[in-house]
Amino acid sequence: MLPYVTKALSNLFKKPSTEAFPAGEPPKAAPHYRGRLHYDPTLCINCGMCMRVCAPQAITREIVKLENGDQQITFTYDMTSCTFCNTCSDFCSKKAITLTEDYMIVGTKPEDFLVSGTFIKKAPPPKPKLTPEQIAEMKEKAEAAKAAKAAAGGVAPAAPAGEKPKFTPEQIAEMKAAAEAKKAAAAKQEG
Amino acid sequence: MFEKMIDKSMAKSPWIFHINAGSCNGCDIELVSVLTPRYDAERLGFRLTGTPRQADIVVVSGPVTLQSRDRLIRTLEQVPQPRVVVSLGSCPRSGNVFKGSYAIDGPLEKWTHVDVSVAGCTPKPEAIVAALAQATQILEQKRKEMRK
Amino acid sequence: MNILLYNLFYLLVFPGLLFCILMGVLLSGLDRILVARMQRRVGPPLLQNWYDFLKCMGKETIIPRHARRTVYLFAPVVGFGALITISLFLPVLNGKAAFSGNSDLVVILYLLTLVSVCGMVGASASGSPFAGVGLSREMVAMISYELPFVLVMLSVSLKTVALNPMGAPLTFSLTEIWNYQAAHGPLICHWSLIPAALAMLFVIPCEVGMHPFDVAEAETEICEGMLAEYSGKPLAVYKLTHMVKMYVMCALFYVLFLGGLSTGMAAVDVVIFVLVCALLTFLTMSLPHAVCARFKVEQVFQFYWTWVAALALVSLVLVFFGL
Repeated sequence: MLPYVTKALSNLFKKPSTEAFPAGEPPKAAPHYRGRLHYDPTLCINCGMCMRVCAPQAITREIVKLENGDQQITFTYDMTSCTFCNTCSDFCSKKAITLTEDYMIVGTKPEDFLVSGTFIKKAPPPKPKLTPEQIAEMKEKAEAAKAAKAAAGGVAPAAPAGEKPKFTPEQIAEMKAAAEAKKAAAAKQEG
Repeated sequence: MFEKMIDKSMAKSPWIFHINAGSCNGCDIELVSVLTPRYDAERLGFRLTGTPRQADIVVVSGPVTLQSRDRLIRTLEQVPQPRVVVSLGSCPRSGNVFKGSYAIDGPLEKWTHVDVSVAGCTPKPEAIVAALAQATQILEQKRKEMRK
Repeated sequence: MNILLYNLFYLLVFPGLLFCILMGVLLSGLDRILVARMQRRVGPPLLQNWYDFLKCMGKETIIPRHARRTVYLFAPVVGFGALITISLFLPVLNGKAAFSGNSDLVVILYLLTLVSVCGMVGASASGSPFAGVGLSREMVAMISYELPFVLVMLSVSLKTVALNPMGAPLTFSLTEIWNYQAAHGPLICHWSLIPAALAMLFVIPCEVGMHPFDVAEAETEICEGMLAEYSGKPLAVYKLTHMVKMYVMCALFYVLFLGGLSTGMAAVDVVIFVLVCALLTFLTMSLPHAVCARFKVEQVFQFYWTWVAALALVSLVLVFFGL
């Protein structure tokens, strides 16, 4: 009992060990603290890996097709659903997701807890459109070329794909010798 | 004048009652650590009460499990007005990793109005202190509305 | 007319209601700050308990379905009234009390019991099983501290009568005890009464229901015990009773063992009185609160009926043999 009493009495004259927090700035979090998520939509490639690995399913993706064929992609990270496990950040190949040291995730509305980012995925360039006259012209050209070939003496078209390349007899002998040498070496090693 | 004094003291002496609605105990430990010498919420007038009848701020942690749901609602009903409900951690708002489980009947918003939420798994004590400080402001507002 | 005004002043202002509440708020606030500082915390503001009281006044008062309405609401008020009445018997300033008679100590003993009993009656009227457990615990605590308390009072009254020329066998009059101390020095300076003073120091926290002995209001074990169902205004009155009880017990110790001191100036006397009350609060309530964990019920009983009762008994025996 006595040590406790002396400790208590000596504490009476010491400064309190309390943080001044609600009065001043919130203190910095420990290094590598995993707090509020930060998402950089400019780096994102829409692979969806973060959604696949997220255990509490905190990540949602919304794809809106725009008129010009582009896709407007919005990733939303719900902080009230997050476990702050850092797995999404680990699996993100483009490092678009990082967990910051901001731990003050307090709010009254659901919107206070959402982190989201939007980017636009460009559609692949469209094939050039041809007018019917152009098509007809191209068809005519192709037919003219065929007719010209047929007229030239009916040369067979190029060899069909998948046919084995032809070797000269010397080449075949060489290859056989190499294979035998290999076999011999393998036998030696086994011996 | 007496009524005004009551209004002012409403924010200065919020008593907390803590309900564990199936929490993993992580948030519960952090809530208790708010009262330790380092964070010392008592200097703002906070005090943990043992009974919902004396509480002003109800802190709920955990995804609402089927087992705890009825008890949670019953306990919340016992808290006298004006009261503020604070959800602690990610679980009460969404279910967190327990989302979609057959044992969960959440989120908390389905059963009561949640005034302030702290996200985090688990939140840092500073964040909890900030949320509780925000809750006291809401408490004072509610008291003023109640008087009208 | 003048007498009526004086009585009203006594009742409502100086030793009565206002002064009691003021001292109760200050002492309980001081206690909370001291405990916080001993645990290296900042602690609440000095008027924190006053804010608590005001806030409880502004909350909704819920009356449980199983409660007896009238008893439930009026028990705290009766208890508070009894406590304020005690303060009128205490001659804290120059040996003058608002009320005084031949048996002040007995009245005080019964009124203090009445305060606890009112708490118990209110608890039993609330119909909560937790309150029932708290009630039975409070009863055990009361039985524990009553015995040493009575022994202390007996030894004080026997001591003051031992050299008393009046020849009465015992005196329970606080005014006479004060006069004796004014003539022979404070009773704490008489070595035969030092054990009794120590016993009284131990009785104070249990009587008030402060931390190591607050078995009846254990927050975490039995949901605040006797106050489990209380909310709103009755709770505020209970909290006020608790605060004022701290002051009344400190004042009682002052009157019993440190009385008779007077510098002649009323203002200085009041300051000294307040300082002594603060010191007593620190010694008997804050220090045990900061150092000890809560006792079990049977530990409280054992402690008071062995150690504390033994201390008081030693004093009684010494005084009985005229030492």
